[in-house]
Parts: sequence; C-alpha cells; structure tokens
Amino acid sequence: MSRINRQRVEDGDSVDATDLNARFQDYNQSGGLNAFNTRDAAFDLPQFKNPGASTFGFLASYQNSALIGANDYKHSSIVTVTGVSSTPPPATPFIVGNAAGSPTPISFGAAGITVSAGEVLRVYWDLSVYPHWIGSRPWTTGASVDFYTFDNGSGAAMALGTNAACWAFWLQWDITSNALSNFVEVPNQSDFRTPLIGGGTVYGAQLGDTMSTCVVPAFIDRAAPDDGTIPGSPDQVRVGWRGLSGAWYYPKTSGSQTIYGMRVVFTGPMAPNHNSSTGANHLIHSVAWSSDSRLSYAGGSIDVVKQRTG
Amino acid sequence: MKKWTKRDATERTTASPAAVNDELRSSQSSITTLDRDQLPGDVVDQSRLQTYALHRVYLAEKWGSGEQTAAADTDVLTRAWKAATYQTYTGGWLSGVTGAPVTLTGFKGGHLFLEWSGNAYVFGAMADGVSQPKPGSPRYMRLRILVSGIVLAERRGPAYHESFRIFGSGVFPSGDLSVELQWRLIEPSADDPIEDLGGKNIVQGHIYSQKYFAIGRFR
Repeated sequence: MSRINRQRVEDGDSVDATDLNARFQDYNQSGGLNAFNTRDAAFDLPQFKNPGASTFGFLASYQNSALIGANDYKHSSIVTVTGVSSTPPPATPFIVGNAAGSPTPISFGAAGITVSAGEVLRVYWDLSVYPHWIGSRPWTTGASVDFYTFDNGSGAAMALGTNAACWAFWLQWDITSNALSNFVEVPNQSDFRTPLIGGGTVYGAQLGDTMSTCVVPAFIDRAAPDDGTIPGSPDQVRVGWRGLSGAWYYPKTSGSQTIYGMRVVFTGPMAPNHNSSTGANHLIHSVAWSSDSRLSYAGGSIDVVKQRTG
Repeated sequence: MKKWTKRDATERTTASPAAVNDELRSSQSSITTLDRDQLPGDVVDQSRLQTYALHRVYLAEKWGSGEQTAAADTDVLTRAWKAATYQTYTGGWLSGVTGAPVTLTGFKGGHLFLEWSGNAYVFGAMADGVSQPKPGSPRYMRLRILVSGIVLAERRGPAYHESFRIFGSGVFPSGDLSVELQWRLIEPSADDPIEDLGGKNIVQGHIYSQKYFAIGRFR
C-alpha cells in the first residue's frame, strides 16, 4: 500500500489551508488504484487459494515418502550381501528391501505422478549402512586395484589402501505402470554394467553418468608416514554403521513424464579408474577381493517432492 | 476514486469544524477503496500467478560435467582418477566445476535456499606422521557456498569417499546473485609420501556427481 508520510497535527497547531489541503490530497492522490496498490502490495494470505487435499499450494504440488530397507533402529534386523563377483558382466544391482528380501520401493499410486513442464521432481533418500569385510586388509592382495605401493624406508614396497573403494547406491524408476515391474535407471544414471576398457573385462560407469549415485567407503586403511615413507604396516579401520544420503533432481522444461514408482539399488565394491587415452574418469567394479567384501544395511527412507520452478 | 468535493480550504478563510468534518466524511470511501480487504478469499490461484511471481527455482541436475577438472593430474595410476594431487593442487578454494560462477538471474529479493550435493573422495590414509598418529585422518574435503561473495554455508566435508550435501539459506537483495560452490583440501604433513614407489603422483581428492538446487522466495 501507499504510505502517507506527513507529520501529524499536534495540539496548538494553527490551521493552515495549504497544510490542510495537502493532507486531504494525500488520501485522494490520483493513481491510488494502481498496480502496486492493488497487486503487488495488496494481496495477502487470505487472498491466496488454500491448499486442498489434491493440491499442496503454489510451490510444492506433491509430496510422498516411504520407509525403505529393513527398518530397525537397533540394527537387529539387517540385510547383508557379498560383493559382486568377477563374472562379466557384473550381476544386476542389489535391490534395497526388507529383512525378508522383499523390495521396498515407493509407489505413486495407480495414476502415478506426472511431472509437467515448469516442474521439478526432487528425490532424497537415506539408508543406514555398514560396509565391512572378512580377512585382514584383503584389498592389498593379488590383482586388487585398491592399494598403492610406497617405499617402506628400505626401498621395498609397502601396500596402503587407496580408501577409494566404495559401495554405490542409486535410483531406479518405473515409468510404465503401477505394477512396478519395469524399473530402469533414472536419467543421468548408469547401471554400472557398461563395458569401459579392457576388452570387455572392465565394467562400470563414467563419473558423468552417476548423478543419482551416492557412495560409502568399502574400507578404511591407515598408516603413519615418516619422512616420505611408510615404515610400519598400515592398520585396517572399521568403517562402522553410517548414514547414507542421496539426492536427485528431475526438471521438465517441455512435455511431461508420468512416474509410477522409484527404488534404491546398489552394487560394489567399486574403484576409481581412468581411461589413459580418453581421459575419462570411471567407477569400475573392483572384483579381485569382492568375495571378501560385505555390505549390511538396515532402514532408511525416501522422500519425493514435486514443485513448480516458478 | 473520491476527489476533493466538499469544501476546499482557501487562504484567509476560517477553518470551521464543519469544513474539516464534511471533507473527512466524503473521503472515507477513498480511504477505504479497493484494497486487500475487499478482495475475496482464494481470489489468487495458480492460474493467476505470473511466472516467478512468488518464487523461482534455479537448478542443475548435472552441474557441468559433474566433476572438478581444475586440478586434474594426468601423471597418476590408471587405478586412480585424473584428479587433484598435491602436485597439481596448490591450495586454496577451487570451484566444484571449472568456469564462471553460477548466476541466479532475476532474483527479486527475499529468501534464498541453496543446496549442493555430490560425492567427494579424500585419500585420508595417512596420519600426520609417526610422531602425530592422531587423528587417523586429518584430511578433509572442505566445502563452502558463497553468494555474492558472502559465505552462505561452510562445512568440514567428507574425510574418505562419501556423498555430501551442503545447504544454507539467507536473505538477499534483488538483482542477479553470483554463487560459487567451492572445495578445498587440507595440506599434507611434512611426512606424507606424495608419490608411489613407481613415481606416480597420489590422488588426494576428487569431487563428482555434483548438482545444485536453489529456491528464491520473493514474498
């Protein structure tokens, strides 16, 4: 609203015609019903349409969430898997499910949800995970790609883990029907089963195709360096239970897309790699010690918000 | 609009109470002309909204290539990424993706929420030397968000190979906002070997799968 900025009349002030007229003109200024007064500054919360059961207001038009995994706060009911074996191509990803082995996707109902032009789908998820292994520092043996060799101070090699091996979690969606039987990777996301280099023996994904991926370390190695060497044997360190947190965005600038459900899947252990010819960075399956690698998970949740971009 | 219709006070005339009261009464309707009180409830629905009237979303579902490339070292083992080594990373804050800062165009002034997420790796296998064995990993991928040069959020960041999401919010004036999403490694200890036995550089950190999402709330 326009504001009248004029000193009030005080007791004892003499009445002055100019002042009096100016006061009235303040209230009668032409153009008072302009765009600013009746649009920009006039609308208030009562004038806005209230959110109803089917509409969540002006910003967010849909929200949904679901529990995933084996929801147990005390981790007494968990799911444990062994790392993907060396048989190429790698096995299909593990599907996050409950303790009985049933997948725990989020369903958007019979009609699904439709993301239209000018809208964006935001997806967030979390999961309680526990990467671990059997044996002693299995990532430093054989053909493993998960360690470096350093000088031990006597010119001999000392193996130290890269701490880069990880378990990768990502999103799949079903855009065919509410039967939720046709899950595929969401856009900008690989299934980590693409042959990359090495004549069909190295599988994984380019890092540019991991936009819904979130990772946790598969192991932690630790050493005490001394003057540029690693004189003592490194220690393996328990990764422990930790929270996994992921995010993914799906904006639509034209057309529309109906989505019926989503789920979280994972694979591992994975390791860094780059193509020395193309320079592309990858996450590849680290298979040399995968049979010793384990991943346990308990519960988490997935949250979906659809909203207008403007 | 009501105009001056009753008594126009002129110089050197007596200002009687009636002169003032009559005009005030006639002005009542102009004082209470069409305003929000006269607008019906629910008059504004989504169909009436102009684009970006209330809010505006700025996002990149894949920010650039998703990877940092400013400190990418090629003299590394193929079992590592072309990424930041202490030979190529010389310290300081670097952008998550090489290039100009992100510009939030047409920000109309108000509340800004911004989140930045992805995966980050830090070698983190070396303590600060045999004489300083703790903490086990003193290396972090520090992260911060700058909006028009002001720190919106700053975090210690991942210590190993982990996902991250850093977010913050604040009130900013209208105008295009310049946003920088930056990372920074911890320097090595005096004892760290930064090459392997074969002379290849050791990757100390990388950041990838980067995306950002921001909402400007203008009301």
